[in-house]
Formats: sequence, C-alpha cells, structure tokens
Amino acid sequence: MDHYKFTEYFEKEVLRKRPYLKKDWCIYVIENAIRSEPQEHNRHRFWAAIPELEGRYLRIVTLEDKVTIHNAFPDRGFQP
Amino acid sequence: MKLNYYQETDSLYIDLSERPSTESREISEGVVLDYDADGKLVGIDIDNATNKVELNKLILSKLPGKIETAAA
Repeated sequence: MDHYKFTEYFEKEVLRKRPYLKKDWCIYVIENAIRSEPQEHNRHRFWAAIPELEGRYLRIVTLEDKVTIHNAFPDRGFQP
Repeated sequence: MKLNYYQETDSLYIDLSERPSTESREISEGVVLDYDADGKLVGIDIDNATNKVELNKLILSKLPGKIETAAA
C-alpha cells in the first residue's frame, strides 16, 4: 500500500471539496477494481463498490503510472 | 468564487462556493460537477484543463464583489 501517492490536486482540491472521501477507499478501489481502463490520453480509471458509501461505485482516477491517485468521486453513471 | 489551477497535472478546480460537495456527476470526460446536500452546484472539477478551457485569458466583467489575485 505504501507505494501509492497522491497528487497535490487530490490533496488540496478533491479532499477539500469532498471531505467524506477516505484515502483508504481510493487504494481499495485500485486493488479491488471490477473494471479499469484508460481515461483521456494520460489517466487511468478504476471502479469498485464501497460499502461505506451504501454500496455506490467510487471512481478513482490515477495518472498514467496507476499509482498516483489524482481524483475520486462516486460514479452514478457507472454500469458494472 | 475561486479558480485553482495546478500546472503539474493540468487540473483546474472552479470553486463556486465554499460549501462541501456531497454528490458528484461527470458531465463529459474529465469534467465533474460537485453538488451540495441541497442539490446546488458548488464546484467544477476539470482535468486536462488546457484542452477544455481557455486558460491564457481571464476576463472579469462587472463583478459586484472584491477581486483578489494570487500568484502561484
């Protein structure tokens, strides 16, 4: 778990605006994703359901390296 | 309202108010809207912003409040 990193944008904007999010959830999603795929030309996205979010799917967006976590939000539009 | 830009990741957060988000919705690839508990729009999260926003110019026209700028 220690090899994951977080961008400055995630630390200062995403966590500030979505204070209910937990970093542990982000790492859980990457390691337990039911789907993952490229996003735009330089990101990667992962989805997994989070029990604490009433089973909603959380989307995690990483940089290309797949270990630097950059964004996270509950993704209502995701179809498993 | 605040515009916070992060050059390293080309990410822009437009804070429409200081209220926290409780609900988010992606409206197009890399653009996520944040809503508060009352369903009001409180922020716009834009990734790879230079492809989507004209960042080289910002025009503030007739805004009633105080305008501050902060150099990063």
